[in-house]
Amino acid sequence: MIEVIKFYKEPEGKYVEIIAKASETCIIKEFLINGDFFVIPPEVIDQLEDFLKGLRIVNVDELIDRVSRLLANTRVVGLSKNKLIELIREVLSDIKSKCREHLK
Amino acid sequence: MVKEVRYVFIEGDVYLQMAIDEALLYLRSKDLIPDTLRLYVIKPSAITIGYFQSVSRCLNLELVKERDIDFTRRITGGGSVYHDENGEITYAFITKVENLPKEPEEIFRVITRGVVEAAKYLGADAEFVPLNDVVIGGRKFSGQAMTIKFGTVLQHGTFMYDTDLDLLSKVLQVPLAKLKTKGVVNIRSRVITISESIGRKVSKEEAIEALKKGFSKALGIKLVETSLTPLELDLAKSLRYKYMSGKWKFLRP
Repeated sequence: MIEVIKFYKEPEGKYVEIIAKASETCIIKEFLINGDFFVIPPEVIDQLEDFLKGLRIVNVDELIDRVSRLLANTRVVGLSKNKLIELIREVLSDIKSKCREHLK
Repeated sequence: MVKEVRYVFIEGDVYLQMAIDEALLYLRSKDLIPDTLRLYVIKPSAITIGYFQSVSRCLNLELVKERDIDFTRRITGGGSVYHDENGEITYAFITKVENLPKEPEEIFRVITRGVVEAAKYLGADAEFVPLNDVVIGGRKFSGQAMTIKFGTVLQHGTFMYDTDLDLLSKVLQVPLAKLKTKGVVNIRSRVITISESIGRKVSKEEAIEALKKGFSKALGIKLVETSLTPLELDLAKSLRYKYMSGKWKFLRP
């Protein structure tokens, strides 16, 4: 199992930590976005995590596009929405590189 | 004419208190109840964590279990809180979004004025620090959390008038990355109580009176004390189980 953990603290803002687990074939098994930030409506983060779970990471840009669409009408408070999306991108990209290493 | 707002005070366990806040949010959204300010004492002492927080990362679970301290997850975001039954009053304010500024950051600012005014009544030089803290001399004694659902705002927050800060700093855990940005190395040096700041012991009754005066002044309202209705209590009791369940507490392990 591949595990990637990344965190970010917004200056004068909130903390976010992403814990992701994936199989060696790049299938996302777990994707948790934790922290003390606020999201309105909060359930969107649960939906985003559920959406990613079970997907194989092939094209990160495509996944990020869908993540951005999911978050489009959502208000993230205490944290920049773009920074959150960027952190998700970094996690997905890291998993993808690690899968490649495993498959070599 | 000053707007009258319903005021309710209740002591009870953390599961019921969180359930009441959620019940009032839903009932207010359907116009079944008026705007409400609640003050409450969580008894026995307990911990609440923010909706997105990982239980194992923000709590010292071993100590929480050893001391048999209740804990649950809130429906609001934000951080973990130790609610000391002998040193902390929690408030909740429920109203429609149209009564408040559009931006959540501004909602925090407006409602939290009640906490700042309450502290000032007690002689503490408190100030609001965005996004959601109230501090005295740079140290936090009040944190706020909020959610907006169905056009209705629920903001609740803490008022540490005499909390056991040593216990608080043992049961709560804050990521080092977060503490560093606050310029401190541990939780204890980041927090304060009203009693500590003014150099005398503030009683529960004094804290409650100060909060009632503070919110009345800050929001330009007149509080009218009532009890919860049977409908509110019934809905809250049915929601209470959720807050007690391991599934909800460990939603983010």
